[in-house]
Amino acid sequence: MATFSAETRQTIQNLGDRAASAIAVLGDWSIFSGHAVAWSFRRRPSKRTLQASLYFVGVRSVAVIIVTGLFIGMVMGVEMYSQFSRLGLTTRLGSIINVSVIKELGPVLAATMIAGRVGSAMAAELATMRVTEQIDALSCLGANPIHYLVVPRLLACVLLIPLLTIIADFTGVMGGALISIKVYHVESYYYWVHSRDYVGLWDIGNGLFKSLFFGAAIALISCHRGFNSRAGAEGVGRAATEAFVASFIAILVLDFFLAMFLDGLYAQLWPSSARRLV
Amino acid sequence: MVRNPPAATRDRLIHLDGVGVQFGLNPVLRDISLGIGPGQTVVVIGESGCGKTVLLKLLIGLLRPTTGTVRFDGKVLTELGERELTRQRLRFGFLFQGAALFDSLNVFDNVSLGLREQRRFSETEIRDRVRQRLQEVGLPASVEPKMPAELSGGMKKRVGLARALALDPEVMLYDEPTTGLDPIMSDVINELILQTRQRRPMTCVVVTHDMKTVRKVADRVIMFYPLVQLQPDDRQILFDGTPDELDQCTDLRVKLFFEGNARAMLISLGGSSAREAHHGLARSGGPRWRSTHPTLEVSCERQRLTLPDRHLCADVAHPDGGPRHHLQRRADTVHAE
Repeated sequence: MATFSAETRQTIQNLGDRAASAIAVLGDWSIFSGHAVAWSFRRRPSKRTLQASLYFVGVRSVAVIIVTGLFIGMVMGVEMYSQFSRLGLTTRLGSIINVSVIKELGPVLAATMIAGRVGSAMAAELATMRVTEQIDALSCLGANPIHYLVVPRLLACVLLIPLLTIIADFTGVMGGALISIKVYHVESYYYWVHSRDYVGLWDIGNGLFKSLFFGAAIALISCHRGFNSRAGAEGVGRAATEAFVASFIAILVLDFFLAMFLDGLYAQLWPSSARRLV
Repeated sequence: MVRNPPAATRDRLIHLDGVGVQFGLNPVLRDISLGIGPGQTVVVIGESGCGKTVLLKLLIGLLRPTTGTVRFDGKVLTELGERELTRQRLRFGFLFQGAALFDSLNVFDNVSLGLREQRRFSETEIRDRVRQRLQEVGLPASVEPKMPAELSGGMKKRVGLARALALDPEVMLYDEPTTGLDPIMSDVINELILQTRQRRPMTCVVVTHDMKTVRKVADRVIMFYPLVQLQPDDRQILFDGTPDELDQCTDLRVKLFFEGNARAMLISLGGSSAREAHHGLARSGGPRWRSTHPTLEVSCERQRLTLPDRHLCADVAHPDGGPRHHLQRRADTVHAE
């Protein structure tokens, strides 16, 4: 029978401990998310808490989303122009820039910005509330902390991230057009005609549908990290960082699986014009 | 399912039976059994880290015991569903150590939050109740629009108390109510605890380090001791009695805590054991003192018994026999009982 050295055994044990701990966190998150979703339907959050969350997630994110969308579109224009001009296909720039922005870059980068701006702030705020016993105080006053703190944030993210994605998409399209038409002098008529031919409602809906899941993931991951923060300033800082990193990874993983799912659905609905990813 | 409580616990509002709490590998409470009758004011004292706040959170169901049961009014808290547990929690008021006011809400909204969550009070009732509670804790109506960040420590505590009292609780839990306050404000809070109890019948559990609070408000005093300083078979509750009995207590650990005596020194041993001990200490090259703990070695040099690092206390016995002595580390030195 093969034997392992003490060092190898220790390494295997550490890996096992980490895996067990990760599974426990995932299980805990699943239960937490289940409660949050159930409370969302069980009882409406108060107008005051919902308004505060909508303002924080939506209104205060608009500027950063506009900047993000605009620069994605402009960078796409710069990078694509040199490639497409060699092939003499500059009028096709609109189609590739716009489909990339609307299907992928707009939703993913808008969600990433929200994870950074809103997710970490939510995690830090809830972690501070945990550390200063404010969450315990809520329980003592007969308020369910998940209903009071998580549901408004979850609803705000799910409702507003699609709207922010529309803004990112729009500014991305405008950024790409600005560079292509005004700087590289691409014929504007053909630029928009090709864009219209290539980008359909399915592509726009595709990006918005994904953004719903991104919003839910950001809110649930960030709130869960905040609720389970360790004590002290370090615990709060760590909760904020973990919330962003975990949300970002969740966005990428969800994006992949949702793209697979939506592509499969498209193939089912319109088999003749199916464009499979794999 | 809620079982019928044993007969002995029926006259107790709160009853802990063999309660233990462990966080990961760290035990905080071990085999705690105690009952609290209605109308009693119990003050829990003990060094930091001995599990006093954990005890309060067990009583209100914010923490679940690892072992044992916590009964409130005959009901085992861990067996209650979410809705029933919330209903029972509303019979408690909790004044948190740092007041735990909600940063994003002003004073009025903080105090009214519990009332609003009940959804059975009109806006007028809520406004009247908030005003009344603020008045009871000595705060004017002008503080209502202020945010917690604009309040002093004493005002925060009073707002926290008003918030805890808003729902007319039957049991008030105070977690270090005077910590961080100046002596005058500490006395104000102590007076408020007394006034609150006089105004309406109430059971109070007060966790504190403040001996003035103990003398002023306690009907009964319980002293906990940190588990890290105890042997596996020692009781964690060192003292359970009236404040007068606390004065008479001969346990050195209790006395030192009650007197706030942090002089770290070798305490001379009294009576025949002193001579015996002195001989033992003088003959440091002779037979070694032994610890009753199998893995702990106590060294004896220059007439001082020394505990190894990381050990804050130990029971030791002289090799020639005689009573055990309790060694305790205070700062860098050690004293013996």
